[in-house]
Amino acid sequence: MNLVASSAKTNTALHLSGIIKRFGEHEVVRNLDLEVRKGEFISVLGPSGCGKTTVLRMIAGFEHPTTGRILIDGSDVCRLRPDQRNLGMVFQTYALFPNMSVAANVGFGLKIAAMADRDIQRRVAEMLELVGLTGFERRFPYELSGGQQQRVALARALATKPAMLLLDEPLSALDAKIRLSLREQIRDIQTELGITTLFVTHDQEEALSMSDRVAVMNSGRVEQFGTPLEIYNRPATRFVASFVGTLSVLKATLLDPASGAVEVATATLKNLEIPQGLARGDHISLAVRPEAIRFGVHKGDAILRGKIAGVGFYGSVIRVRLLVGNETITIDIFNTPLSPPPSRGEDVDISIDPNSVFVMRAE
Amino acid sequence: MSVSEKDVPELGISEPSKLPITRRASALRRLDWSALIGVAPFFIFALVMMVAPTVALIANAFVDHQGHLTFGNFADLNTPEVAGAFAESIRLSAASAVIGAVIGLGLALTVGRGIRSTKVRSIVMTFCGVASNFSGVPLAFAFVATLGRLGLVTVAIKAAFGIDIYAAGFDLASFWGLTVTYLFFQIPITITIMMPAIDGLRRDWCEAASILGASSWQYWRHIGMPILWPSLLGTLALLFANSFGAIATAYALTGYAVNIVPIVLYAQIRGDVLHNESLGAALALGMIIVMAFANTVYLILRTRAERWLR
Amino acid sequence: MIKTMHLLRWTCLSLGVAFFLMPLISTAEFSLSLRRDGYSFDAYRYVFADPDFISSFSYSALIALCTIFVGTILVVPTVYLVRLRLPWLRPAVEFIVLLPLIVPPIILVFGYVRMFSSSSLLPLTGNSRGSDILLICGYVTLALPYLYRAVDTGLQAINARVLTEAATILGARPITIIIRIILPNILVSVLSGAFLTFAVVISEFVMASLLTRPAFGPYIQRVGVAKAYEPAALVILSFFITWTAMGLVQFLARFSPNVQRESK
Repeated sequence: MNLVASSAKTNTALHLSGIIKRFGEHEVVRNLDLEVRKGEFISVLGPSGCGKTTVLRMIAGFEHPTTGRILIDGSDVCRLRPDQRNLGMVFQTYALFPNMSVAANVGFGLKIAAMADRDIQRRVAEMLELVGLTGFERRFPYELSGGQQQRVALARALATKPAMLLLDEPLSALDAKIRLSLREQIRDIQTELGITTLFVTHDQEEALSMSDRVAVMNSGRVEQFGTPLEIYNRPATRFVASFVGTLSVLKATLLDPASGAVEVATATLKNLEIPQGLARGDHISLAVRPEAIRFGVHKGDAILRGKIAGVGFYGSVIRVRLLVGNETITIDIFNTPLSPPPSRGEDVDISIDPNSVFVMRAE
Repeated sequence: MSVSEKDVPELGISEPSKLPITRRASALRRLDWSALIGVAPFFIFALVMMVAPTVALIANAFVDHQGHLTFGNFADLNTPEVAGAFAESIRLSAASAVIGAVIGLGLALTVGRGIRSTKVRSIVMTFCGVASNFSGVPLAFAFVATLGRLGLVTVAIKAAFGIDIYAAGFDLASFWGLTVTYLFFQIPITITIMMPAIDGLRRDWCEAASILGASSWQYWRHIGMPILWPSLLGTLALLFANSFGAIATAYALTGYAVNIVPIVLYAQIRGDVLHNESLGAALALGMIIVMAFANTVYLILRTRAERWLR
Repeated sequence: MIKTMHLLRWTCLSLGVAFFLMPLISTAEFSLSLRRDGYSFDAYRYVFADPDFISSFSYSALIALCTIFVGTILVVPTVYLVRLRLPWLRPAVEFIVLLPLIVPPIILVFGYVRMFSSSSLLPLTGNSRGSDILLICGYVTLALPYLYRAVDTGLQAINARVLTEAATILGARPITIIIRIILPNILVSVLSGAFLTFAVVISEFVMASLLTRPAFGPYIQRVGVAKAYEPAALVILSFFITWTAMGLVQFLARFSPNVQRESK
C-alpha cells in the first residue's frame, strides 16, 4: 500500500528555506533550512524550548514564519490555511473529539471531504485494522487507554491519505512500555505506507531508533542533520555529542597539535584528532562514548589507569563508574554471564581507541 | 463475612440464635464512630432545619381543615387562579431561561474565545457573580429607574427618536417587563456556568479538526456545539428552576399584578387572600416537584458532559 | 474576514455591557438627583444619617457573620471527614446540599413558620431571639451549596488525603491535622464561601420579611415605598457592597494553594 503520488516532479517532499520565527523580541527559530525526501522518516530532536514544535506548527499552518518559505511537494504553502494543506497530524494530547465514537473520529476528515458513507465505513475499517483496533468502532475516547487513543489518532490522521504525516511528541504522555511498542508500530506503519513523516521528540532514543535521518535542534537552529549513525558516531558540535547518547568527559591539556598528543591526569595519549584553532597548552575536553572504552590493555589504544567507584546493573548492560585522576567517567560493558563484573575499589587499566575520542575546547 | 472460631469460642453451629447478634456487633464495630460523631451536627441540622420543615409542610398538603387525610387540596389547585399561576410561572421561567441562555451563550463565547486579557475576564466574571445575586427590590428599582415611565432610557429614547415606548404598549410591570428584568441575573448565571465549558474546548481539538480539513463553521457544527450542548441544556434547566422559585423581584416590580406561583404562595403565608394553609402547602408541593424535576435534568446533563470530558 | 469577526465581537460585547450598565447608571443618576438644580450626594447623606439604615445594616451584617460561623463549623469537618473516612456518606451529603436549590427560600420559611409556631414543640417564632435563630438557620441553608462547593473544591485542590497520610506518618493526631494543616490550606476557600454568603445575606429579602426581622432587605423595601431618591442611593450602595464581596472572592482565588497532582 504505497501512498506516494507518482506524478510528483521532485523527490523533495518538504523544503524549508531561511525560516525565521520571532515572537515579539524573542527569536524562536533562527534561519532554518531543511530538506526532506519523499517517504523518509525524519525526527526533529531537541530539548524543550529549542523551537522544534514551532517548526512543526509552521509546517502545519498554525503559525506563520516571520521570514522564509515552506514548500510542500514543490509548492509554496504560505497562503494555504491548515485545512487546505492536506497534511495529517498526531498531537501529544491525542486530541480525539470526545463527543464522537472511534469510528466517527477516524472518519471525520473523510466526512468533511464529503466522501460517501459506505466508502467512509470501508476506509475506517481499513485504518483500524492497520493500527490493530478492529472492533473498537463504537467505543468513545474516554473509554480508551492512552496508547489506544494515540493509535486512533494515528488512524484518523492517515485516513485522508495526506501528503505528509506530522507527529508532535506523540509518545511523551504514555507509559514506558506502551511507548516502546507504539514506537515500533508507528515505524512499521510508516514503512508499509511509504508516507513522508516528520516526528518531533525530545527523547533521543526514540529519534535514533525510528528515523531515517535526524535533525538535532538547539536554540532555534539545526546543529546537525544526518543518519542516526552519523549523529551518534560523528557529532558535529559539542551540543549534539552531549545531547545524543551519554558521554564520558575528561579534562586534558594539549601538548602537541601536530601529533595529537594530550596529557590526561598523569598519562599521555597520542594520535588523537585535534580540531583546528587549538594550540599547545590549551585546556581541552576529551569525550568518548561509554561503550568505546574497554577494560584491559589493548595495543594501539590510549591507556589509562583508574579506580572503580561504582557498578550499576542495567540488565543487558553493566555501567561502571571509574575514577581517573579526580574525575569520574562512565564505562558500559555487556553483561556476559561468563566473566564477572569488576568490583568496587579495584584498580584497573582501560583502553580507548583514539579514533573514537572527540576533542573539544574546555568549557 | 464469617464469624471466626475465635469470636464465639464455646458456641457451635448448634446455637444459631446467638450468631446474628455477634455478626451485627462486629459490623457495628467496623463503623468509624469518631468520624460519624464529627459529621453528626451537619446531619442533625439538615434533618431538623431543612428536611423536617419541608416534610411537615408537604404533609399538610394532604390534610384538610379538620385534619383528615384528603386529596381535596390538589383538586383546589385546579382553580383558574392557581392553574393560571402555574401556567404563567412556567411561561415566565421558560421565556427568561431560553432568552437568558441564548444571549448568555453568545456573550460567553464572545468573552471566552475573543478576549485574551485575564484582567478583563476577571472583571467580567466578578460582575457576573454580582449580577447573578442582584435581585429583589434593588433590581426592581434599578429597572424602574431605567425603563419605568420616567426611566432614564425611556426618556432618552423619547428625546432622541421621538418614540414613547409606553404608548407603543410596553409596560415594565408586566410579563415581558418582568422577563427583561429577570435577564439581568439569568444571563450572568449562564455566563458563569458556560465559561468553564467554553474554556474546556481544548485548542488542540480545533487544530485537529482544522488539519483534517474542517472550516471554522464545520468545527462548531460537528465538535464545538455538540460538546457544549449538554452544559447548555443543563443551564436551561437551572435557569428555569431559578426563575420558577424567585419571588422577591416579581413582588417588588409587579406586586400582585403578574400572577405567578411564588406570589400566590406569598399571599397564602401572609394570610392576605384566602388564608388556606393546606392550599398553600399543596402549592408548595407543586413548586417542589417542578423544581426537583428541573434540577434533576440539570444534574443528569452535567454528569453526562463531565463524563465525556474526563 | 477576521475584521468582520472582530467587529461582530465588539458589537456583541458593547450591547451586553450596555444592557448591564444602563440600570446601574440610571439608578446612580437618579440617586444624585435629589436637588432640582443639579447633582448632589444629598440622597446618600440622608441615608447615612438615617438611624434605621445603620441599625438594619448592622443587624444584617451580624446575622451574616453568625451564618458564616455556623455554616463553616458545620461544613468543614463534614466535608473533610466524608472525603477521608466516610466516602459512603457522600451521596447523602450531596443530596442535602442540593435541597436548598429544590426548596426555594419562600417554601422553607413557610415550613419554619408552621413548624416552629407558638403552638409547636419549639416555639421559636414567638420571640425575637427565636426568630433570629430561625433566620440564621434559613441563611445557613441558603448558603450551604456555596460553602460546600467552595470547601470541597479547596480540599480537592490540596489533595487532603495525601497531606493527612503524610502528617499521620509523622505522628500527628486527627485534631492537630485539621487545625494545623487542613484549615490553613483551605482558608482561601473558606473565605471565598464566607464573602459569597455575606453578599447573599445582606441583600436577602423574603426570609427576613416573612420572619419579621429588622434586616437590611426589608429596610430597603420600606424605603422604596416611602421615599423617592433614597432607595436609589441604597441600591447603589448595596451593589457596591456585593461587588466588593465578589471582588474579594476573585482576588482570593489567586492565592489558593495547589498541590501538584500525581501523574496517572
